[in-house]
Amino acid sequence: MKKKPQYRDLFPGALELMILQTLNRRPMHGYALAQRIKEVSDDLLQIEEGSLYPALQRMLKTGWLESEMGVSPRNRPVRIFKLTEAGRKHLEQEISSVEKMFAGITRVLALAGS
Amino acid sequence: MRWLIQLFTRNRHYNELSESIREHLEEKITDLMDDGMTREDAERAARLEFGNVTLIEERSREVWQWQKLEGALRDMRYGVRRLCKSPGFTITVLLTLGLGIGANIAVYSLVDAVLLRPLQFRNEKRLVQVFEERPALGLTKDTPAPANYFDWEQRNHVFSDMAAADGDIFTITGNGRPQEVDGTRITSNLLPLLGIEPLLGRNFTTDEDKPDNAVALISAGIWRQRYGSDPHIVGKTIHLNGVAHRILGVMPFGFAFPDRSDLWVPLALTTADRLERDSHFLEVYGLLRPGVTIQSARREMADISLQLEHEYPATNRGLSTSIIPLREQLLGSSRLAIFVLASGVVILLLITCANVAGLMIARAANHQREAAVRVALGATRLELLRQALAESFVLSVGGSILGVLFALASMPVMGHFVPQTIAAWAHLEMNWTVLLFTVLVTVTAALVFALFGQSAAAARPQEALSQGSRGSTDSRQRLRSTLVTGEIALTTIILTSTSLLGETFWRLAHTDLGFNPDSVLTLRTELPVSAQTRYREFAARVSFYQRVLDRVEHLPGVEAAGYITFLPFTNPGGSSTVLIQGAPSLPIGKVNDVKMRVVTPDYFRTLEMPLLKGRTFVEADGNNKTPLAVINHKMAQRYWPNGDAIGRQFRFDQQGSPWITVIGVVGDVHQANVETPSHTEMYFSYEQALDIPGYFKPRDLAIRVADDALTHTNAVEQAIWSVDPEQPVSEVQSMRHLVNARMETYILEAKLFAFFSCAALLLSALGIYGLMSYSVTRRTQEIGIRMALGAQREQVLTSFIAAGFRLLLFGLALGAVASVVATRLLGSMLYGISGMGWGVGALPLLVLAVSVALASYIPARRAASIDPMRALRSE
Repeated sequence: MKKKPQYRDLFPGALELMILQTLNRRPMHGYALAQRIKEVSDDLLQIEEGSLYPALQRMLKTGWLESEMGVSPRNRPVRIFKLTEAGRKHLEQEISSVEKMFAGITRVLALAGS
Repeated sequence: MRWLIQLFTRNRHYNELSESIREHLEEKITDLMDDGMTREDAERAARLEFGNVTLIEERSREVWQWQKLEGALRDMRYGVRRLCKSPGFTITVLLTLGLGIGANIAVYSLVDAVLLRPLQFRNEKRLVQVFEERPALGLTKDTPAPANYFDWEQRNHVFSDMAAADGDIFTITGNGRPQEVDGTRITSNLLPLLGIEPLLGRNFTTDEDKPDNAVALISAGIWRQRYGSDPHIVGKTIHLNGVAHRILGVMPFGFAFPDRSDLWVPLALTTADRLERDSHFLEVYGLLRPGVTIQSARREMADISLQLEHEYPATNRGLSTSIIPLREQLLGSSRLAIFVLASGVVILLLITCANVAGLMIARAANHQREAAVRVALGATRLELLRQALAESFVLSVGGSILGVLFALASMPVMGHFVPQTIAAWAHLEMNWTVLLFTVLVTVTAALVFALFGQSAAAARPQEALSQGSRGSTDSRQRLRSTLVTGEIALTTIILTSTSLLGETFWRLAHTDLGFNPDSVLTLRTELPVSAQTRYREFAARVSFYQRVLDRVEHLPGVEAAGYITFLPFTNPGGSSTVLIQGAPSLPIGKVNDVKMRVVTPDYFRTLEMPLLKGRTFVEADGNNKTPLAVINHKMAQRYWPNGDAIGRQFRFDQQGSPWITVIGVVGDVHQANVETPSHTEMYFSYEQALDIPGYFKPRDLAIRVADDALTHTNAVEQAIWSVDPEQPVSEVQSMRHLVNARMETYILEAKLFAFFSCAALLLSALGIYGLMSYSVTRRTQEIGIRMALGAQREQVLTSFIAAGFRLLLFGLALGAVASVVATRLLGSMLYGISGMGWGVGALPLLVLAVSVALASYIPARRAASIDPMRALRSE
């Protein structure tokens, strides 16, 4: 059995960042979130769908997310996850630090290449 | 606060989580079925893509938990459940641990209280006592003369300070019953030297340390007992030996320096006293300067002694000094007893550890297959180890609690071991450091061996699963055999020591003391001989003794009564040097040192001491101008070995001392204690003054009665007070009690060692039993095959018993060698036994052999009764 690459392979916190970013646009339930992340990241990031759940619990515990009952597109009662104010702030911080990091990496790579 | 809310809401989270995951899977399956999959395929694909549902659910839940703590608790709950399922094992381990830990704490608390914890003195490590030594006269640790003390004090550079004391007996009169107490005359710097301050009031000053300055410090005991803890006691008056003294202060509770003092007054040496070099009566203490070792102090004092020898050859020839740490001096011979006890306990602790280790290894082996199955099913080795650890931990905690309870219960017994001299300060209490240490040692042993056994099981699951139970011996079995052999060896040491101590005690209890201690009442009337009292006069004292004896002898039930300087077992008393008439002059440095006591005529009859030759004193001897003496058998043997002592003469080794005629020879008496044989002794009549110092005046009264000694106490006291209502009466007790009190330490030692022996025997038997029954269980199949091939039941039985005895023999051989060493150590604690008595050792070893036989017989019989058919089918 081929070992699936984990989200950890990208960089630490990447999965959290993606969850936050995805839910920031629109609250959704677990299955939809998993589909969405797969869809967006495609080959770049293949994750076990299940590994979303420990991450979601961690973020619920920290207070970045909250959950409420809702209805899925198939009209099933589901648990919808959405960002809290704290989650939104954290997302902004993370994005800016990631951007800084990428900017740095890009510059170093550009200079090293020239 | 949030963690608390989370703790109570987490069950809701768990439910929501399970639901979310279920929803997720359902939706996925529905999606996949929309794509044309069958329900079965869709379920399979969904689960594959999702991952291990149980694991993910567990990981998600862990987010809400304190994982480590809760994991440990879970392991322990499981451990308790498993332990409850094997009560035999659990109870054995708990008892083993409890007994080992308990005994260890109890005895170590004693050692700690007496030896390790500093006495209540500041700078306790720097305190020493200084003695004079005169080896030529056989005098060691002698009390120094005042002039020598002052010279030492001025010339030395090793002590920051030196102080002196002199013990005395005081009579307290005035408010309340006359009372006689031990007191000490001290220099003003003694208390600061010890680092002790009065509880109330103040110490006296150097200026107050002068003759005729009547001030006193009293003990907290006297303060409470005579003055009802009066807070305004300081400045009040106390009458000591008939002289009014001003109370300067009250000493702290428990302070009784040097041993049982209740009063402290200034040493107050006169100018003449201060120049005295020939009269040796001071106790001298020194405080070493910081950084000065006792060795360098000894060198310096040796130099000073040499100087003094040059300057005062008449008095100081051959006089050196010795310096002993104060604590060592105060502890005396109890140190050895305590050391031996401690060794006994260490051995017991070792046996305990060996036994627990053995049990743990056996348990791990029994669970080997279970462990292997769990590994095969995906348990990590860490998880297995954690489980074993949790189980051992539960056992250790249980065993420790039992041990502490046991130790607490034994504290009152251990209290009897604290030597009288330091009983006031050395408070025996449960020592928590020791507790921690002991628990740590035993628990570590339990944990280490549990892990060792468990990791061996977990290391090779395939092997464990495939080998079945046919393996007859393995490395674990060998290790256990070694442990059991060690246990037997240690038990042998304890058993031999116990029998030797037991024999010592038996011999002591059956020693002929030279007198009959039963039905004798004893008490002390110390007549004060200071300048201010009427008993200063010899005639007044004689009259007192005569009147008291006359009244006491006429009391109903009294058969005889007599006074003596010191009764046997109270005080070793003093001696004097004598010259024997007609004997060749002694070589330089040799003297005839004879113990001396003064008695009334009926003393010998009262104690039922046998008269061997001649006669004892009679009342008429008082008018006899010829000095007379009764001597003991030993003195007669030493100086008149032909048996013709009667009528021969000797005199004190002083200018102009008259010749004394021997009129009788009496039997030898154990004066000091049971262990020490008698010295050469001479007795003088209380009616003949003979220039004998006041120290030797009779003070102890012995009364032989027809029945129980103590019932006569009241009548005798009234008789004494009818002669002198101010005269204190002290030390009222039966002679039998006096004798037994000296044996108490021996009795307790013997009892404690008997306890060690029982515990050690029990533990060793348990160890062997455990090993054998484990071995039988492991070898069930093998035994079945043997029997199927024709082995007889007897053969199986004997082979197992033989295995037990092989261990016994190894252990005994090892133990015998170690016992010889241990006996050397016991050496000076033994009485009447020289070295190793194999006859004595045989009985307990027989007991050990029987225990081993029994411990191997029970499992062996089980082995022999195995049904071969069932055994072969069994796994």
